[in-house]
Amino acid sequence: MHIEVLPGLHDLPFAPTTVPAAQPLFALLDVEKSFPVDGGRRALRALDGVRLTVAAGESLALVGESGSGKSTLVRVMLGLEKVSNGRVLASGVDLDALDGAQRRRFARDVAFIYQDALGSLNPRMTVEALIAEPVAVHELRGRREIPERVSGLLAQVGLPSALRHRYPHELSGGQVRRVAVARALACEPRVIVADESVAGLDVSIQAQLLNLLRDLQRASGIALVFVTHDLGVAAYLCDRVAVMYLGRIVETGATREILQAPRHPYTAALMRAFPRFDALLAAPLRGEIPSPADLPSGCRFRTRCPHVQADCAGVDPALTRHEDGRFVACLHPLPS
Amino acid sequence: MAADPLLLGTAVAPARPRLARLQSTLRALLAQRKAAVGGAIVLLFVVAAIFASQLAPYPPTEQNLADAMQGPSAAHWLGTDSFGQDILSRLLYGARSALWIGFASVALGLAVGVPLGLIAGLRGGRTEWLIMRIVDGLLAFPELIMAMAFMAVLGLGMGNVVYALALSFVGPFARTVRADVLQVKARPFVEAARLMGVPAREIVLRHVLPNVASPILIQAGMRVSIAILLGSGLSFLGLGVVPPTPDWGLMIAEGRGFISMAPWMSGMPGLALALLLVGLNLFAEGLRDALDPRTR
Amino acid sequence: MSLADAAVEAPPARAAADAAAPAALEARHFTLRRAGVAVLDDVSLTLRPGRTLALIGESGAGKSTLAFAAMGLLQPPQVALQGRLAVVGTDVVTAPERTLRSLRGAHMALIFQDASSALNPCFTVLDHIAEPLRRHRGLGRRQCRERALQLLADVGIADPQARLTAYPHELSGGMQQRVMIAIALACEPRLLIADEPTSALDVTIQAQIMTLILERVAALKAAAIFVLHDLALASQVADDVAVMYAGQIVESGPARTVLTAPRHPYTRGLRASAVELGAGQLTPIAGMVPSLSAMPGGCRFAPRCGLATAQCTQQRPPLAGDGGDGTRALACWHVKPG
Repeated sequence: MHIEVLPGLHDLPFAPTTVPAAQPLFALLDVEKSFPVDGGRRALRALDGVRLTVAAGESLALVGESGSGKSTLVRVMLGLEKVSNGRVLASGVDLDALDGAQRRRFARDVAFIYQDALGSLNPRMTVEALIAEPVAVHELRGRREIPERVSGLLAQVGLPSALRHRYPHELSGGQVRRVAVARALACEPRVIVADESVAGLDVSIQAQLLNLLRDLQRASGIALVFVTHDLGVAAYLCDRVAVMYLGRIVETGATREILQAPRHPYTAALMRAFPRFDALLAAPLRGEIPSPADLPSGCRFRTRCPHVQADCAGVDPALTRHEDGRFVACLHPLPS
Repeated sequence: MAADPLLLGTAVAPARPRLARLQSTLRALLAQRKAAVGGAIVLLFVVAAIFASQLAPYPPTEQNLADAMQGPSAAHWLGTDSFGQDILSRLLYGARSALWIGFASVALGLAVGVPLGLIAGLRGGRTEWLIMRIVDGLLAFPELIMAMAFMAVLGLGMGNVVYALALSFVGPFARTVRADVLQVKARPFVEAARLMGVPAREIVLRHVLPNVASPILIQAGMRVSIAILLGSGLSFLGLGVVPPTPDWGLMIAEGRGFISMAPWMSGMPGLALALLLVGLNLFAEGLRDALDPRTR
Repeated sequence: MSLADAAVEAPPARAAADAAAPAALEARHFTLRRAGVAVLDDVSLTLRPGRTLALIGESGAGKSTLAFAAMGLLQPPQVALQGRLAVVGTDVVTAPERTLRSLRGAHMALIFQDASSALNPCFTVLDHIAEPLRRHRGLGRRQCRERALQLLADVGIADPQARLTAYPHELSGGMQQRVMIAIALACEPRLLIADEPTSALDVTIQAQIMTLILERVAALKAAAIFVLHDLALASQVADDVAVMYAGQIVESGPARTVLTAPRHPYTRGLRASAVELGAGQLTPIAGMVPSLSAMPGGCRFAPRCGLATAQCTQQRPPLAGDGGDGTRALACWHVKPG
């Protein structure tokens, strides 16, 4: 049985501090995305009923482990995949129904930074050409003004101007990611979506990049949707966190509040498992993550939940709002 | 946020404009011993072909039956053939037809095959299916057989040799280009360009083509030697260039009956052919290694 | 200048017993050169039996190189070895390959970072586990099978019977890692080396796997070396830590103390740039790790160090123990105990 709380826009997970005067940049309504496996006999439910909004100027982290569906969610938001069910609205317009001008506007408003930063840069283009491309495509500057704009962007991401004639394979890992950030900023977007942009970097380079992203986001007012498996990174960058498990958002709310008092047992487990200097090693969850092709009945987390109760097998909790603006998908949320 | 070189710790080299990039490519190319040696050999033949009229001691078709079938001597460095024609002179002029056939047929094959492969790879769907089935048909025939059939229909002569060989190259080029295009299309930066709103035409010109270009160039380089070999083969079989045009294949054919008496008649053009092919292959391999960004 | 090692000050009775047993790992002025470049430079440290050590550092620090060298996997002519690197009593610098081969898998075992590429996709789980058992213990087929079942149960794999005949690609990442651990533990080694064993895993699985490794190592009373880049994880899993930078050990001592109150400027820099839940502000270390072929003279960290003086660029500070408890060691001209 699935508890259905039909969302009006006011029921959707809004950041409590943002007054939704304009349309949210993104609104996902019960988005589902399935892939057929086993020759079509089974369905892999990568996204199984996602509700989310992203307001202008806010920073949101999508946190999840493998199988959570976070990468699929990003692809759906960008329009790279079509949903099997539900709707994705960008500034109030359904992504499926964008006309040509709206599509161009969307391409400009939403910039994406790939996980494989090096692979997302054309190896035959110089740094200058790469960063200049979105500026030229969206006609944001006259031809003569573009080099200056590129200089400005390079400075913004902390790269020396002399790098502009280099090719991507000549740059270090950290520099490549900065180029990707500069290119994302080049089209003056309203939201930057980044997929695991700091994974695999040395601690110090990672710190540089995180500071860069955080400072940029705060100074420019561009919204940031940051996908990561690392709760610490999510907490550092973003004011709001959405925790995903097996294709659904199980908790979302202000970062600081969630860190102080997580309500969903999975969030609490993620926090407990995160290595800290002031806590002993703890393995809060047993077992493996179930396959998205074989979801448990009722609450999908019940097979590993330390607080599982009898009714958890029968009911699939939907993401519901609590009074203080927190959204939790649990029949027995942890006390505040 | 100002760029602080100390903070980033990058010792940055001065800017490198386009000319410097070309120079560095050339340098990388020459650094490869293979390419240097191969290039030198090819250059030797090209010079021989261009300046054949100045370098050749005798007119290539001047017959002198009294001096027929003479071995290498002071008067004729590489000997004479059964008509008394100087082999060295014929070799030099023969280089012209060999090189011309090689490069012209490949160029023509590229001109037809590359667009076909591009359209197939970019369009996909029914267009791709149709084009690839045609290509499959072309590929079903071994190149030499197809060229022979072509010559039988069109008649002999150097021009037709070029056309025949070009046709037999369309299939391989189209197939390779299509495969390269598909591979490039799947790379993240192409999707990234689409996400950024880059129009389709620019995606093709700026993102797909430049990344497909170097594999094609390398392929083309290697094809030239195949073309020269096939051209000589056609002439050898009597289906290529018409005598008395100096052509290495023809020369080898003419010397066939005299192998025991005058081995230099087939031997010299055979050696020349082998040397040129080795040079071309070395150069093409060196080119491939130089263009591979990983080996830089 | 005396060189103290990272040994633990054990209580007297145990110290006598421990003194009898050879150190699990002992490095004395160990230097490893590859193509003339010193990838590991004058490394000294001691790991007593039953203790766990974390090797911390960024990429290029040499921690994985040290781990592989300890397994005797890096030998001339690919590399040039100098000094002493004794593993469970045998010096890999001088020992012949035959001796090393008999040690590997039996007395010392290695767990790799990426289980999916460390396991051979052509062989089943049973094949993998049976290999060291056959080689080093000479067990027959039935004995191998029984032992394998027990090992799989020890590493927490449910339904071991079914998993024995599975191929690596049929298992999840966490389970593949458990199988690697089972292989490593098959012959009850005295030293277990784990090279980033959980970096490729989800954080909840990481916690499980780390707990498992620690349990199994404790059950065997073996010593363990963890190569890690995560400082907080190191403080949670290891007794001792050695911080490496550009092929040298710059600080070592008890893990919790060193990592929660670091003294060496590099360790402090690492701590300040490490992400923690609720971290206020990250402070990256200025500059970049120098490339191996262009190492600065003197202290290798000097170009990036706020405390650097002329002495630092001319002379390399030796690894000296602090006066105090004798268990912490530091390689710096300016930071002293006290």
